[in-house]
Amino acid sequence: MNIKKELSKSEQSEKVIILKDLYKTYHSSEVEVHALNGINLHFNRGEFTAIVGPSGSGKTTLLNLIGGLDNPDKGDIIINNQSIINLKEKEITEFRKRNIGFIFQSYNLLPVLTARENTELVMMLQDYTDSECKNRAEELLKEVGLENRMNDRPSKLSGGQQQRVAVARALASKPQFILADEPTANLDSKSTEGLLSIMGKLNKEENITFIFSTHDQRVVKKARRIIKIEDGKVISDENIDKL
Amino acid sequence: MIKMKNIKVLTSIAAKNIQRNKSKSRIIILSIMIGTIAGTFISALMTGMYNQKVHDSIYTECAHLQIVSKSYLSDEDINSTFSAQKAESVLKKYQNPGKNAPIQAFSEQTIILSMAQTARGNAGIKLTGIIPEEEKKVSDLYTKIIPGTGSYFSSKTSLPEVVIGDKLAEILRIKNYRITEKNLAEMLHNGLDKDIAAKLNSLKNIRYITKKKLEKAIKAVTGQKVQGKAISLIRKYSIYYGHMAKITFSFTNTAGELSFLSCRVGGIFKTSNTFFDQSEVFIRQQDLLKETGLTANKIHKTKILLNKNLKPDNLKNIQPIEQEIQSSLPKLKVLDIRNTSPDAYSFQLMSLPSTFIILFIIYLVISFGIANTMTMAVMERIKEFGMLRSIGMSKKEIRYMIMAESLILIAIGALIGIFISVIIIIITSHTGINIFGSSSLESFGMNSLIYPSITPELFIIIVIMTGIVGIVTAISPINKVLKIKLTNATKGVLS
Repeated sequence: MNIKKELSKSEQSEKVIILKDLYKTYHSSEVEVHALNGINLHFNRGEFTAIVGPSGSGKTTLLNLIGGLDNPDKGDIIINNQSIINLKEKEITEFRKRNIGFIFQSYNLLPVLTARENTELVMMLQDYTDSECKNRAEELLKEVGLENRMNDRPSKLSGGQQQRVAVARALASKPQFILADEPTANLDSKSTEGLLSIMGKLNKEENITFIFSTHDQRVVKKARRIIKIEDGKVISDENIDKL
Repeated sequence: MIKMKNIKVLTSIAAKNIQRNKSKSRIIILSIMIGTIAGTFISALMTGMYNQKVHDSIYTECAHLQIVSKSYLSDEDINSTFSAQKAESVLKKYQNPGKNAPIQAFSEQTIILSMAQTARGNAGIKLTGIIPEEEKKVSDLYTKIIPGTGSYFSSKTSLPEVVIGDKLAEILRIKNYRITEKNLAEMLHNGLDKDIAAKLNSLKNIRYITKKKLEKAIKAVTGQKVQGKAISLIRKYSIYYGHMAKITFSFTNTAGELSFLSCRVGGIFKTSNTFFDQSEVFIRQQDLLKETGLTANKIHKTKILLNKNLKPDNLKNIQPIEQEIQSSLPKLKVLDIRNTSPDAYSFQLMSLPSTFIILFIIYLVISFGIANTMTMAVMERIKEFGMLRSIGMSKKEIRYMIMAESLILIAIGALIGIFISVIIIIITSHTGINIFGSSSLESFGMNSLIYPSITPELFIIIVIMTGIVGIVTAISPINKVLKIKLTNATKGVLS
C-alpha cells in the first residue's frame, strides 16, 4: 500500500481526541445505570489503544460517544479541535462518514453484498468514482488477505474472514480513527491473531488511530496503550511505549 | 437531496434485499397482484356495464340527439308538436354531403301517452308513431325482436300493427307459460331430468299466465320445489307468446276527446332495459295519425344519430354540432344524453370515480398487510441499518432505501396483476360474463351479459395508486427503523 505517511514527532503526539468530564446515565423503567462518571481522556494520532474493563464498566458507551453514535449527558468531546456534541444530525453523520471507521463485534456486513461490495459501500456514499471504489476495495481486501474471496458473500466466509472484511470496510474511506467494539469476541485464536496483525500493520503504515474496547487478553497484549475502566471511571491508563 | 450515484447504489441494495427474504417478498407481490387483478377486473366490469348502458341508450332507445318543442319538455301533451319540415330543412344541411356529414340519420316520431289494454291486463304506455324504414337508421330495435314472436313491421294484418316489449307482453298477459310436446322435447334435449319431464306431461297445453303459477303447478305434480338447472330450462322453454294478439289503445286526441285504436302485436322486442320494454310501444306513424287528429308535418320528436367519425358517444364531441343545430332552431329544444337518458349519463360520469373508489378500497385494505410484512422484514435487518447509519448513511438515504424496496415489490406485483387482468379481460370482453343472473341488471336498464372493458385511465389510476401504496407502506417501517437508538440498532436491539 502506497499510502504510508511519514509524520513528524510533533504530529504523532497531536491530541486528536479530547474527552472532557464525560457523564452518561441510562434510564430504564426501574433503575438508573451510570455508564460514565466523569471521564477525562485524550487520544493522540496513531495510537493503538485498548479500553478494558468488566462488562458494564462503560467501554462500549465510551466508544459510542467518541464515534458520535450517542451524546453524553454532560461533558465535551473534541475531535480535531472541534466539539462534536452540538453537531446537528446531518453534520454528525457526515463527520462519521469522513472521519471514523467502525468495526462491530458481530461484523454487521450486508449479507446481500459480496466482500468487495461491502468494502466499496462506504466509499460509494462519498465522492469516490466507481473505479476508485473498486481499486481501493481490492487493495484493502488484498491487504487483509482476502484477495481470493472478494466476490464471496458473507455467508460463505468464516467469522475471521468476515471481520477482516469489516476491517477493510472501516478503512475504505481513509478515516482518521477506527473504533472497534469487541472485534475479536466472536473469533478463534488463529483468526484473532491474524486480525490483530493486520490492524497493527495498518496502524503503523497508515498512522490510523485505533481504539478498541475488549475483554480479550490477546488484544490487550498487542495494544500500545491500555485504559482500564470500572464503574464508568478511568482507573488506569498505561502507555506501553512510554513505559 | 440524495446524489444520483447514491440513488443507484441504494436502489441496487434494495433490489438485492428483495431477493433475500423471498417468502416475505412473495407475500407482498402476491397480495398486490391479487388486489390489482380484483380491482382491475371489477373496474373493467363496471366500465363494461356503464359502456353498454350508454351504448344501448344511444343506439336502441334515444339516439345521440333529440329535437322536441319547448312545451313538450314540460308537458308531453299531444299538442306539443313542431313542424317536421322546418327541422328537416336544418338537419338535411348537416346530413349532406355523404360520409363526413355530422348527421348520419334522423327519424321523426309522433308520440302519445296511452293506456294499452287486452282482455287480461292493461298498462300505461308511450305509443310512438314511426316510419319503420327511417327508425331503423337511428335505432337497432329491429334486431331485438324475440325469434318466433313476429317481425318488425312486416306482418300482414288488417288492423294496425304494433311492436311491443317483452315486459309489456307479460303485463298484458300476451306472454304466458305453456308446456307443449315440442318444448318438452327441447327441455329433455337440453338436459332436463327424465323423471321431472315425465311428471310435466300432466301439465301439457295448460296456459299459466305467470311464472309463479307455472312453478306452483310444477311443485304440485312433482311433489317438490324444482330448482337449479331444471327450473331454468322449464322457464326458458315454456314461454309462449300469443300470436298476433290484439291490444286496444285509448288516448286523448288533439281535440281532447277519448279515442280508441285496436292493433295487433306484430313483434315483441327484448332490450337490456326492462323499463323500456314495459313502457314503449311502436306503431307506423300513418296508422297513428288517423286516430289522433295530427298530420304528418306535426311531430313530437326527431331522433338524430351522428356520424361515427365524430366519436359521438362522448358528450364533449357532440356539443359543437348540438349547439349549431340549436342555434338554427331557436324555438325548439335540442337534447343530448344528459336529458334523454340521465341515468346513462350519470353512469358515464361515475365510471372513473367508481373505478378510483374501488381500487382505493382494495389497495387500502392490502396496504395494512403489506406495511406489516414490510415492517417485519425491515426490523429483522435492524443491525444492518444500524451499521449503515454508523458508517455515514443519512436518514434520507435509509428512507429512500426502504421506500425503494417497497416500491419495487409493489411495482412487480402490480405489473404481474395488470398483465393477468388484461389477459382475463381480453378473453371475457369477447365472451361476456353473466355475473348477476339473467334479469337482476335488466330491471336497472342494463344488459345482464357484461363485456368487461378497460380504459387508459384505469392504468393511470393503478400506477398512481400503487405508487402511493409503495410510499405509504414504507412509512411505518421507516419510522420504526429511524426511531431505534443508533447504539441499540448496531447490536440488533429493537428499542
